[in-house]
Amino acid sequence: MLPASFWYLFLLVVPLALVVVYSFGERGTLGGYTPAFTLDNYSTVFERPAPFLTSLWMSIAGTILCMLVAFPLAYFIASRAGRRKGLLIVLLVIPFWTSFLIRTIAWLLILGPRGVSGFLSDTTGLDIRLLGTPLAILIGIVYNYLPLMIFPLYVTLERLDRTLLEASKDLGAGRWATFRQVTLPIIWPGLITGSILVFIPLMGEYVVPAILGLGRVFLIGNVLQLDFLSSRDWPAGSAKAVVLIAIMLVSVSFYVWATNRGRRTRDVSVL
Amino acid sequence: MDEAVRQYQIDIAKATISRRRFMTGAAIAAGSAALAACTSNNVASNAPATEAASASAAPASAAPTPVPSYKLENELFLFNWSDYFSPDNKKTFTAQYHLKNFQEDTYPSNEDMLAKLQAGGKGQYDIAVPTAEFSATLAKGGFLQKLDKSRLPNLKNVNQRFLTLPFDPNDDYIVPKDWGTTGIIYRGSVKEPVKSWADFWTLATGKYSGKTLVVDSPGDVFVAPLRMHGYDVNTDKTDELEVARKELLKLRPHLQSIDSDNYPDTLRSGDAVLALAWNGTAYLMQLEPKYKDTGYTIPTEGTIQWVDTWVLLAEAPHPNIAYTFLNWIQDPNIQVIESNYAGYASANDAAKPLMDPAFVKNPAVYVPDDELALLSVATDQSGNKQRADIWAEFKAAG
Repeated sequence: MLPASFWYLFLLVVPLALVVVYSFGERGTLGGYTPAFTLDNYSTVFERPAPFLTSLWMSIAGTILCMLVAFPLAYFIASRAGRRKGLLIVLLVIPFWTSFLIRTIAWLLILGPRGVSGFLSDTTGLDIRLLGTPLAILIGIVYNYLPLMIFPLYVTLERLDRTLLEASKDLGAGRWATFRQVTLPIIWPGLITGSILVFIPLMGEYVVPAILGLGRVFLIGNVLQLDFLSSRDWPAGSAKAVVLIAIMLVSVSFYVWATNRGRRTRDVSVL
Repeated sequence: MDEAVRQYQIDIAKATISRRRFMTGAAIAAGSAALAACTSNNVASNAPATEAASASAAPASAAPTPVPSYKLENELFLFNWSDYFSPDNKKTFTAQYHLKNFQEDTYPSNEDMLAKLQAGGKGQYDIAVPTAEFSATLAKGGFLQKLDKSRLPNLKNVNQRFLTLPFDPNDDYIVPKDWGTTGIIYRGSVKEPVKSWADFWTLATGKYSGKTLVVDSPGDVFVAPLRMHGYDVNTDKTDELEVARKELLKLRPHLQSIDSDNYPDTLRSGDAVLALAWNGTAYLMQLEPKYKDTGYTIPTEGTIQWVDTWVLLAEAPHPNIAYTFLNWIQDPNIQVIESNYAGYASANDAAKPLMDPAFVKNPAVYVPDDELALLSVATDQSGNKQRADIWAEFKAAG
């Protein structure tokens, strides 16, 4: 009992409290933090909401894309792969034995002028560039976060009782009705877990835009890096971190509430 | 600066044995004998530490005037940028002074270095290599030792203008290393004249829109709009920075990237042909046959020079060998090896005649004498809220 609350206190509550305290302070002469009480750090956050909004839409888009890619893959592995199931899972995991950074830099080469965009430009005669665009970031994001979506989905799909699908079919439901009324409610927890697992780190994502964005796509993670390391203005960075935490608490709570509510009120219908 | 001196005095008051030995040396101030003492003492490097400790106990006024006695340590901890110290020189120094351990750790930016010093204490390293304006910041924070010039006779080889930098006018803290400039790099395919920041703006927002990049470094990028309007590069005037802001936002939609890490490759591939960047990249590209027509311009409105500096950290665990090193590295023959390795202009003028004339004459390495007047020195502006705010807006603007 004591050790658990001890860790909780020192690894979560104390650092969080420090961030909150810092967010009301001022930058020291050498950078860092000097005790003070000011709300300036917060007012600047709302003067420049662009990075927050970019982060928000990219996180939502990234989560949805991950879902769209992960579901068919997880479904295939769970229900159709047969004896190769274990092998496929291992193949999914293997790339993640390499550092996150190296995998992202690899995409820099793949999408770069000597990779896909160079090839597309040469074949179409147009000047096509992928690096530095939101599309490049989304590709990097989906690639890096996909397993976080696949595994929770896989676990729920794996437990899906095939006889339920047959029963649904026997009772006259089409493919879509079966998916909506049988499969979806069963994999729902996996979908929610997966999207929260993807969405939360995405909101703080820094590496992918820093590398694939060529400095042109500016997310909240990049703002934090600028504040803490370049301007060495810890209070300004802390204020943004607090706002980010607030946004995530609200959006994730809303998401969980909305999805659970939908689940409770769903009725079975043949349509 | 006063604050730094005070901090220095506090450090002395708290000094350990090794620090007191240093203090005795400073009090004796025996001029040119220092180097001789270092080398001769090296033979007796096994002398007991108590000898030095008892020597330091004597009051400074009663200290014997001639040969100061510095017991050279057999370890040296260097904190440096990567690929910025010749491995050959490292070998030579290690052998010459019988070092048992020459530890070299690297950092990617001044800020990272400061973060590590703040987190791990001042006694982790003997020598670090910050950029000059950052050395001033470090000195203010009490991270540096004031240098005893009598132990650095080879400083005479260094160009005076690096010893009178605005933030360290008496050169109390720094031993200049390499220097360079922020300017305009352009590929051979750019036939239009690129002489000034104004040319850069015109081309970037016109013909080379989408093929222009700037480095991801506010200290360098702010220089261009400020100089274009004739303002001081270190200005903190609200209206002048506002003008710079407007210019930067005008440029922003035309940029191919804002990037310091990958930009040499971007220039090589031709994705960008025009860049606000550092001279070293132009030089390295010129060395490759395919890119030997790469040009580099010091804009006519003026720009900044950067200077990297060797500094002695406040609680250096091996101050004596560190002094020996700082003096040794300014030997012209050693400096030539350094420049050949790093590819940057050395602050050491005595080494220039020993270098390849093509290297010395290359404007992407050494600034021609008649353009030296265009250079000013940037001070650390990272604490300026308005600049930080403009930079964040510049980066976020789509």
